[in-house]
Amino acid sequence: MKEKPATVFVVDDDDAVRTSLRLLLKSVGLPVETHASAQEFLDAFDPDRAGCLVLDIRMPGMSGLELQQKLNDLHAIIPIVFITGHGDVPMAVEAMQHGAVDFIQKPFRDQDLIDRINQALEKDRENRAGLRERDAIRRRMEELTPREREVLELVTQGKANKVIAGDLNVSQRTVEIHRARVMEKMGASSLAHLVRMVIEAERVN
Amino acid sequence: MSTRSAELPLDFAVPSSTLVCVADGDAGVREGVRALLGTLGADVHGYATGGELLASLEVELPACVIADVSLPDMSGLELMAELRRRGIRVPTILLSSDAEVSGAVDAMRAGALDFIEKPYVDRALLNQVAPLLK
Repeated sequence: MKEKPATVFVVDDDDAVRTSLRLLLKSVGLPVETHASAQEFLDAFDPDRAGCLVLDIRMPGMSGLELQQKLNDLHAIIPIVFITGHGDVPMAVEAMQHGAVDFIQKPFRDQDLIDRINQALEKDRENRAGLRERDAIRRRMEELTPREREVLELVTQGKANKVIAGDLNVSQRTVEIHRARVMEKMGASSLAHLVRMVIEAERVN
Repeated sequence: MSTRSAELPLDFAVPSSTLVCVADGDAGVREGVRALLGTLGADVHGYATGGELLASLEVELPACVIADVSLPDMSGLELMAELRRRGIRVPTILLSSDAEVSGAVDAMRAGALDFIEKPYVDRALLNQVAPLLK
């Protein structure tokens, strides 16, 4: 699966900041897209586009914190680097409590911002790889027959074959066969691996 | 049997649902926090240094630790690291009189529940500590 290159989305109400960040990020070869307001970004937001968000914390209209909240409500995984002013401590703390990956305080050195953006992009790559892995597990689970799914459920509850056989009113040998099929279809190398996959599949963003 | 030392007190320490431990070099701040959280029914113990607070944990585990970011003998972050090293999981709130975003971010990264600037402590502290007390 080939992905489109990751984009750095810049949201800042200050024209001069947007222009200078656009030039800066282009100069280091990062695709960049700027928005003058949180609402404008939200209207164009596509959760399938890889990248990170560079977000001014203080803006008229919808603030950076409000945009973060809205993205969280959408279970968006895009990592956010906030731009803050001196003394924005309470807002920075709140943004951290809600999952911001990083902050940069104005005025900043260009290289510091680029470093933070690169870390955020790396985090986005990891997040998306995790999501793809989860989707793959879910697809494999959907391939299971209803009976195999029952066995999977009971096996991952830690029940022994003998107990499962009793629960399902079948022979122990039948449980062993189903169990082997489940392990094979799921690509599980061990019971622990199978349990980890089930936990991963049940996780929400 | 594991060896027991002064640094690993957890087998003896009793968790408390009303105790709050405060470390701040300023006696006025300790008193202020004591009066404030007393209104929530908290039993507040004040310590002038991080070392004194750590020593107290050998007896009783608080529902919450509140510490200044710069204590006379260590930083608030060092105190948090020491709690972690000892395997003590306690919600920790740092207080600061310095408005640097980077310090707040470092504290939150280290797992602080909150980072509160000193002039605005009262309401924020009440909001955070109230749910921790039973």
